[in-house]
Amino acid sequence: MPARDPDPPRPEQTFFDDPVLDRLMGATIALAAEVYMLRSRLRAVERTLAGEGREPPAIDEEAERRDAMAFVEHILGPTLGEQQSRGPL
Amino acid sequence: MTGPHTTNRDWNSADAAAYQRFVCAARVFWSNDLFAALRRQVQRNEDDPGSQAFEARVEAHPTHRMFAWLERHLQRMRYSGPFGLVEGVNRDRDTLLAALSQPLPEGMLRLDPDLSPPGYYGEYDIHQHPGGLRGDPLAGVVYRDAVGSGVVGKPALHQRFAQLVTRRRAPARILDLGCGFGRSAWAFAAAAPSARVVGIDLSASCLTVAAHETPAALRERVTFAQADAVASGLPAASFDLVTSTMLLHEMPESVVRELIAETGRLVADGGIVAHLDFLPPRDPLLRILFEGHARRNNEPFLLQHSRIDVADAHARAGFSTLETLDFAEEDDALDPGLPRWRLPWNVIVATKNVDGGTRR
Repeated sequence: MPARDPDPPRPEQTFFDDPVLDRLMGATIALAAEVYMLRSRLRAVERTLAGEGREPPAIDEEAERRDAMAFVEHILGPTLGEQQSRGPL
Repeated sequence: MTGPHTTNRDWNSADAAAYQRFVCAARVFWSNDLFAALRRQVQRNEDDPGSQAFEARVEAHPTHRMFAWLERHLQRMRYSGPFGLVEGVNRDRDTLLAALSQPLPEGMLRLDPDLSPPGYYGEYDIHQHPGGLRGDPLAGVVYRDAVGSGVVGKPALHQRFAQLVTRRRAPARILDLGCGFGRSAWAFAAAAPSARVVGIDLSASCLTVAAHETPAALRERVTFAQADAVASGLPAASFDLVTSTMLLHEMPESVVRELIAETGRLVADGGIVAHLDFLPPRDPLLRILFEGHARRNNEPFLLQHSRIDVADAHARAGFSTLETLDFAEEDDALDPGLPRWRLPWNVIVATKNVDGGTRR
């Protein structure tokens, strides 16, 4: 008989009535992170092309942070649960 | 989880940086926008007959559920997975280990390979750091990287605390309990320019990072040693100031009681003990979020020290004039309408009786 794992994984905490939602949220946010990484890669490629194949200019850290915030506000904005225009309740 | 799913090292590094930028931006959204929306949407009103009804309403509110989920999982993403900080440190393991093996000035770092950590230390992966600060010689690097953003990572927090304490009395001998990777010890050394500072911690990894990254200007006055804060074996009455930053909330209540008694032994007559830590906020919503933070951030002892009558415990340890003060980690932190979630920082400071008397 194989030895029993002395400390098997503990079940993840849940926050929604249906724990499937917790897991789907995880997959959704992971995909959002992947999209952001692809977007960053694409920008790096575009910078290189704009420089006609030479090394891309150095990354502007502040501009990258602003871009990440705008991306996140777009992705997570719906989590606020507030209407963007005044409509019926 | 396995390693990064690309093979080009430059892209790995760029992907990981982008991933962490995403996580950090999401945390800003969580602590600012989502917190502000939650506050708007669950304003306490006269329909709530009491605090329990308010708590139940907040707990069931969809925005609170999103808030709780994001708090839990953005912290997981920061540390774990193919682009988490643990994997990032693993990618540079050989280089980092070589850097931390460089020689140090004699006596600057004393590790105790025979130290047996207390049981509570290994029970949970605090902060969701897989494996915690035990074992892996690079765990301290992961921790340093993890707190390098956000308020906890801002050097001003340590500087503000050190200046607040040293303004009360200029200490010559300082002991920093649970010094982690050194920032608090460095801040006290900078705030008390003639003082010698000893930092102790259970984590060999954190202490090694602390010793190697101590600024050159402080190296003659700061040393680090691996020891348990409640059983350091340091001589009685050998410090003018004993301090800790973010230590109390990582210990069970019984250990905090031992620690207070031990500080009474270590502080010289007329000296000071000063802890920077958290106490539950008075605001009902902030209190609910703080209590939830304990579970979501794997900090099971977060609330335990707040159950202690600290005035009585310090009086029994020989201290008088105990104060607990709200602490502003940033200029606007104590504004009542602060539009972002923050940890409820507090300073607990007490002076040792000059005659060394205790009340038991």
